[in-house]
Amino acid sequence: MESLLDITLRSLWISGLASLVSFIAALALSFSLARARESVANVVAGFLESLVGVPTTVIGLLTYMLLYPRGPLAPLNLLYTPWAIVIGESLVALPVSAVVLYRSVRRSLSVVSELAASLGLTSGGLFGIAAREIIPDLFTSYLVGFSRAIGELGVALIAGGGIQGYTNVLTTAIALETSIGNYEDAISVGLVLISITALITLALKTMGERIWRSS
Amino acid sequence: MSHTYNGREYALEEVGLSIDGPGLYLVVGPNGSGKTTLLKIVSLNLRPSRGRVIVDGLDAWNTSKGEFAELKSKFVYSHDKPILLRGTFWYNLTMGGRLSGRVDEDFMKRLIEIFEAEKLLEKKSWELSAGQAKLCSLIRALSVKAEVYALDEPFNSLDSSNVSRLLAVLRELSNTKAVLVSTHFLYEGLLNSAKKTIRLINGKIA
Repeated sequence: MESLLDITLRSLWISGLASLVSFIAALALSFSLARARESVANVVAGFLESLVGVPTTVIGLLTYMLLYPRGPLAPLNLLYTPWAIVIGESLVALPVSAVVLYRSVRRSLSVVSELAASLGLTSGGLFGIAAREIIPDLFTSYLVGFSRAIGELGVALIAGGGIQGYTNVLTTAIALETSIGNYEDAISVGLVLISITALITLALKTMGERIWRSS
Repeated sequence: MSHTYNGREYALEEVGLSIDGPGLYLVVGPNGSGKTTLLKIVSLNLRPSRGRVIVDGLDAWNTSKGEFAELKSKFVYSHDKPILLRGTFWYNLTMGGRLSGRVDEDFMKRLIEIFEAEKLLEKKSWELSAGQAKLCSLIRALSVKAEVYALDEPFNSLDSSNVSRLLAVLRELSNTKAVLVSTHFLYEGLLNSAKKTIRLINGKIA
């Protein structure tokens, strides 16, 4: 097995970036839904909730179909690269990030909009103020996306290929080591995965709390 | 104008109100009589189910977006239950400027002095008492430059000193602006200072 440190660092940057992309998309989606009519927004939110449970192997397959030589994104030559995993894991993390965020954003924007209207304003410039009101939810949204991304196997295996030294991440390393009977190595990697996820969650939650209290 | 929230019962029924220039306009009535609904409609924060709101000769709810924004900027509404955001008293006070861009900073400083709110400026919004939150909301609203101020139960939660101070501020303000005040309690001198008094019972003018 290649160095556990290399695998860990690779997992962190791939999943960290993927969850950042999905978080930004979730934020934009949440604000759009918050401004839409409630009936429409609820239907979309319901659809997003249903996507949370989609198996990562299916998303891995979708990513593969997008990037494979006859796929629409074939010219990008991203299949079996870390970027393929970033794309796939962004799709994995997006529904869960959006579901966590959507209702908070809607509630916050509603309050800020009502306040703005009462002070004579009719439009615009409220997103920053509304986002400030839900800082803990912003952190939670990123963290649930990150947890989902770093813990998934389907995308990393199907679209990434689990190539040693290149696209091998923590989950594919566990799968590989288990499949060849190296249970001790597999368990070590598993413990690293759990520890990393827990530490990062704790660190970001603490940061979020500090920012929240100082605001 | 009339308004229903649920399509069945009317919170306001065939109520007419004309604001003709500066002065204190009182809206009185018991709980649930439609005072908040009336103030929200008058200040263009709520579109009536039936009827029209005419501002400077224009039917406010049947104008272009730009014209509506222009008309809306003439009104300020202060909620019965204050809306305060996360942050200090000062952050919330200055929200008026951040959101509307039209704040009379000198008047705000004067109001802070009148209500002795200097010691509250650095307090976090969740540390404020109900009365302090109310003060914050009122100073914020009154500091925004407008022509009509619609204050919903402004005396609620205030102690007697602040009630007296607020009465004095409103009397002074009503010399140059239209100030609508809803209240279910008639404080001494309030009725005599009013240019017009509207009494509401069960959504209708009594």
